[in-house]
Amino acid sequence: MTGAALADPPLVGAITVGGERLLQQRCDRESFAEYRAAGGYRNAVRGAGVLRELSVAGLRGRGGAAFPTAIKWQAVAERPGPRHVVVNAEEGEPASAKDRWLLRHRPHIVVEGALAAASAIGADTIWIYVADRPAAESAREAAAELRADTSLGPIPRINVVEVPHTYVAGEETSVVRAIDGGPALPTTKPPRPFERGAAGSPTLVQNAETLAHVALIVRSGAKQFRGAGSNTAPGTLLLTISGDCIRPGLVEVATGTRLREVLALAGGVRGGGAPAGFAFGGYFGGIAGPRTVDLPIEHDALRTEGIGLGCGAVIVLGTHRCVVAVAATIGKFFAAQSAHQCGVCVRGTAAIQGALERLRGGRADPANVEQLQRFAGLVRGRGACALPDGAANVVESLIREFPGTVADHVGRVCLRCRLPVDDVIPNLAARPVTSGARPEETRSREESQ
Amino acid sequence: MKLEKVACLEELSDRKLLRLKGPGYDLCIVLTDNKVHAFANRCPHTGARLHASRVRHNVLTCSHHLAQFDLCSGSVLTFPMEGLDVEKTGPLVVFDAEVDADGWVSVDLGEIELYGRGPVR
Ligand SMILES: Cc1cc2nc3c(=O)[nH]c(=O)nc-3n(C[C@H](O)[C@H](O)[C@H](O)COP(=O)(O)O)c2cc1C
Ligand code: SF4
Ligand code: FES
Repeated sequence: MTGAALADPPLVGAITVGGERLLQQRCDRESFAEYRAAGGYRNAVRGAGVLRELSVAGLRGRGGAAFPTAIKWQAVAERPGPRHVVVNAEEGEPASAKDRWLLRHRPHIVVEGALAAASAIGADTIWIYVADRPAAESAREAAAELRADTSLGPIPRINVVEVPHTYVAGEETSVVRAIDGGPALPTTKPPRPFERGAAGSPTLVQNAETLAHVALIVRSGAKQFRGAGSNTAPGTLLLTISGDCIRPGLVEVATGTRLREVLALAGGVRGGGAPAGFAFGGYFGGIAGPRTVDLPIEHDALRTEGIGLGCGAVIVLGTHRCVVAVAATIGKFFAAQSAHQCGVCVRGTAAIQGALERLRGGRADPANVEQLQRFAGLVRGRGACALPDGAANVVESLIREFPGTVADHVGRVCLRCRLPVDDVIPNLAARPVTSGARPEETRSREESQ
Repeated sequence: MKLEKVACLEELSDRKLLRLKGPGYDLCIVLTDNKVHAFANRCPHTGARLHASRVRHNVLTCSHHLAQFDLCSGSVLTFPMEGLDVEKTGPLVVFDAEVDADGWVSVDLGEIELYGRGPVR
């Protein structure tokens, strides 16, 4: 499945202070010349100054965990070189499309961020790690355009690595394993990539959107960056809004914007009425109830409510959807995407899938609901990667946010559960290759410099 | 329990951790911004050792999942980047450290029995 082209998401709009930052209303690809003419690659700050500026900006990762970027950079920078930078644009969450949009349409903003990171931490190699073929081609073209221009002086080697689109391929230890020629499957930690990553060297694995924000920080400064968004997670973020809304697509919002405003940009709930809920983070962050429309879209604020914003993919569930059917479908997804390396993940995600299917089919008794909750507790934090935590999040959020609905499903068949939800809960075409995988079959790598 | 004269100020190079381990205790002391701090050699996130961690001003960054703690109060400044129960990470256990007129450092461990046995959290 390496190199499949995924759907190109439309743009929906922006709610930021001072307009869009990363998104531009364009269907074409921003060329090197165009990007440069608009002020790109003229970064005022370089080297250690980038790290200082980043620290003031308070940028947090956009790949899922929202970890402060400057702390991770410092951890890589203080280890002996050589060092590597990886642009993680694999985007394993099926409901997310932001990273592939950036690489397809604005590759240079991502590459400039990666160059700034490399200069700050003293890295001599940049890897662009993708699953989407057009995004990979656009990245290769960007690297070639940079090479052809001599005015920027010496720059690090830029390599593009393509992997099959699976859920675990984007996890950072899978990323370094695939770059080193292995299958894109997680490894145990420690060592973490910031300690020992690609080719055994300290490696900064950073989400593509995070690096695009870095490019803006080095160009316009931390103060400008902090001009939008909340104090603890400043700036804007890209949301992929999909499901039962009228205009699904990409939105750029200041952190702290209410979901209600985003939903309005997306044209509201398809079919009218109130949403039944939202699936958050892609599938990783759990399912939240309709009350979520009035919560600020910000990692910390949502976390205190038990919701994970993840990589910013939000699926709107229309009035007619049954959240139990949605949870069962997501449970099935996690069981299928388990890389079959850790016993607790294989058995745990399968058990969760089975129990959710029973609930969906009206075959569950009260003991099964308790059992479901127990399974969630048992798998959390027990895998080599956090995939089982995604399955646990779905179960725990379902029981916490929709206790009445869950109770109604015990021993009773729900007719709405019979409706398929695959149109809003898409699957991935590829599954992790778990045994007998020859690395050359699972990846294709191109060195562009 | 008070540990008297555990180190001399001259032995402490700026921001370098000194590990002190003995019966019932395992702690680190560090000189930063002209002040000596003492804290349990145990990260409140997973219980991992802290003596390979980094100190800058009064901020300690755990080498395992990069959580950050304030050395004055022990409070969590940044939650760990990953791992189990990230948001349940409690404060770092810090102890009073004094430097006398001759430059000797003493550390007051307080209720050391409690520290020796139970989890730090
Ligand atoms: C199962 C799993 C899948 C992941 N998939 C992705 C992914 O597709 N893209 C991504 O950027 N990060 C993904 N991550 C997070 C990465 O491990 C890593 O934390 C991230 O790329 C760091 O970038 P950031 O700090 O800019 O967010 C995944 C994590 C897990 C546990
Ligand atoms: S936890 Fe699951 S998905 Fe993650 S490495 Fe283990 S088996 Fe693979
Ligand atoms: S053990 Fe210290 S941050 Fe995890």
